[in-house]
Amino acid sequence: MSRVKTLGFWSTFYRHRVAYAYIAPFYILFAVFGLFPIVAGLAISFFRWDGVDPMRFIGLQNYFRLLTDGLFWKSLGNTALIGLISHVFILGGGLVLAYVLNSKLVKFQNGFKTVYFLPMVTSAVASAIVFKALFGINNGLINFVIKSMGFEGVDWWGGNGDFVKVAVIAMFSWQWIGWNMVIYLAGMQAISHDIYEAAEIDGANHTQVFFRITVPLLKPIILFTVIQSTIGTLGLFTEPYVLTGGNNLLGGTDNQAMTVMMYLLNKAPYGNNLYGFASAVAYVVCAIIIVVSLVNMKLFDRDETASTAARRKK
Amino acid sequence: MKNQGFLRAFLVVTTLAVTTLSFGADKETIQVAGWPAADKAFAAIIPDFNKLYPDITVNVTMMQPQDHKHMVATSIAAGSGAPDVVMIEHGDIGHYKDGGGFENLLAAPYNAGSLKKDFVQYKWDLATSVDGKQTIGLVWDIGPACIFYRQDIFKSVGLPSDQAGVEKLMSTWDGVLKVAKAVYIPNKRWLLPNAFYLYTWNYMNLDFYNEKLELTLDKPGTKEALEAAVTMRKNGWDAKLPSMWENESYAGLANGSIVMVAAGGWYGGFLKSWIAPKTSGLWRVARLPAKIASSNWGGSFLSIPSQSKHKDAAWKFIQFALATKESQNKMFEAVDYFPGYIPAWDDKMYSEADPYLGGQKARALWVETSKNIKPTFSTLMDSDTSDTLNSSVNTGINQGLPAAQILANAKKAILDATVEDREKMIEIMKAAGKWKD
Repeated sequence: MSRVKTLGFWSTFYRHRVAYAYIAPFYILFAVFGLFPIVAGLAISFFRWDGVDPMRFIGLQNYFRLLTDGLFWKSLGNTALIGLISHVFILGGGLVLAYVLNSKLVKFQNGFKTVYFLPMVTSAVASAIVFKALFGINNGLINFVIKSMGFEGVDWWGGNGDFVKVAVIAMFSWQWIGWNMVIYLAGMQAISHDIYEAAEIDGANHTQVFFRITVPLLKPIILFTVIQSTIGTLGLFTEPYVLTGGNNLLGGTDNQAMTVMMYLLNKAPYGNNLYGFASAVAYVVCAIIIVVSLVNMKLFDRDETASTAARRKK
Repeated sequence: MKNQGFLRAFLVVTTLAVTTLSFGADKETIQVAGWPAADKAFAAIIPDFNKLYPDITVNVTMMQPQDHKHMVATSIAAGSGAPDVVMIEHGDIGHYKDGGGFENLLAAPYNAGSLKKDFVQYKWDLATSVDGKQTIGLVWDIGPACIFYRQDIFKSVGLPSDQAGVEKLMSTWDGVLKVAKAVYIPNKRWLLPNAFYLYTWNYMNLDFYNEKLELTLDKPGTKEALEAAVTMRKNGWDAKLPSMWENESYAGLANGSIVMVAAGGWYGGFLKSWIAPKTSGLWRVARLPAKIASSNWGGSFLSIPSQSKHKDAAWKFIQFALATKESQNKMFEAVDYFPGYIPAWDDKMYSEADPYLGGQKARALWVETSKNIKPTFSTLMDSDTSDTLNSSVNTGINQGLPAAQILANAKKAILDATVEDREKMIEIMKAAGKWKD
């Protein structure tokens, strides 16, 4: 540090020019495609701009309007609810699947891995068409089964809109479970086999091994997936958009499937051209992601120290 | 965007190289962008265009409507990457007509003002700024609205099935409900994809606002329409599908479980080409029910982004495509885009019988409808208002609310959704001297 001061920034830079040249490609690309839009977006959020006419500074008005718009809070609530329920299946299911595949309880593991991962590489638009066929009201497969058992068919898209989220959650979970399974599997393979063997010798059953060994040792990986999932949920767009018809971004009956990302894109550029307002939405969403991630990290961190302490005690 | 720029530069360079090598003449390439089935329409006229202008190559790129709209919005905002000729949809042109980004066709060198009398007025007005000084798109097609109904099913349940009989039967909302009841078979057959259309048919022209920007959701006749929609849903006479633009709706129209739909004339092209090609001869058209005024649903314009480097060639193409009877009618024949160019209607093809519609002379009905559509006052809020109104009315009917409550909720949702655009609209009108405080 002191050297930097005595030599000055540019002479240090020059001394290490080769090293800087090596890392330059990333930083240049990041500056152009990452940093610039991030900063420009923040600036635009204080303006009114339709993309064509001159920008006009309006201070915090976009933020004020956004935070007083009931539809924004509704879309945020929808996103949170869809995200929370989906991730019980996505993370919990992914963890269980990964454990089953890792513990060699089944054969053809590569086959299963491929099958579970397939939804991830399938276009969301294509799979939404299949899900729409499943959740059709008059001709859907699920309603067909329900009706053939003698019950009333479910009004998936209508009524009070209570069931719109079910379809979105089903599709969202189906799409992402394989991705998290693969990450967990990679994490599990990094856990030393000795520990499992020791547990086996001690007579631990699968439930005990899962909860006492696999989950605690996977904690950093789980934290990673939880943060990724938070970001992914707040970016949730294609599934609810296509499932609710793809004509507008209002999320079907009573806006029940309108996510924050749909709200944003409805302001610009899909539904309208309010770029300033849309940038303000993006920044508020960004702030929410940061806060939720920090909370996640805090929660996991506390757990981590507690379990380390417990281990030390032993 | 960067890639596209590079790709275009690459294409231009290679095209230039190839043409200078082989012909030694200047050749120009213009990019024309839109959504399907416009590609088929352009394919029908490009050979003729090239006979007239052999030095202009026309490259057509198609995207899905939403993606196209997105591409246009971002490339105009970014100031580069836009094609030379873009298709703009009826509901979207209001976003651009009062601002920059597109060439003003009234100004030199285009001087399109002389063409104005040949295009349907309400459509021309949609592309013209509030102060009347700028027109940013030439009218391609319009959507004279009508109902499409299954004549065989009407007949089989003992209803009148010819156009005149059906129009008389459905001249009131009670009449429409009678038809809905007659064709209804529980779990099997319904009149419409969704009951809310009874109300929204009244707003096909997107005429939500008057010149004081007051939201008028209670035009004469619309209250009865909404009450009829509520009754229809209460009795279970509609298919409860989220909209007519759903695979389940298409399937219903194809297999006869949905009996009627209202749309612009172009919907006939949809029915015969991909929704229900096997039901040829079974469909008929008629005027909108319950004396709804002659209406327009949808249609498009062709515009030139100001950033284009081939404006002259682009304008040549647009004029050739839209301001000639031959091209408009060739495109109409190819894809059923009904011309907004009035001289095109003076052709014997407009009195021809349509075999898909059982030999009915539907085009004559559309010409008549087109002549009767009244100019409307268009605003920046129209497309958001339309989306929000559809969504709110659909929600209200789903929740079984009374008509007055549905309208109150819709009004609030619309005012909330259009705050910014309303402010901007007032500014535009003030600048044009048309706003009275």
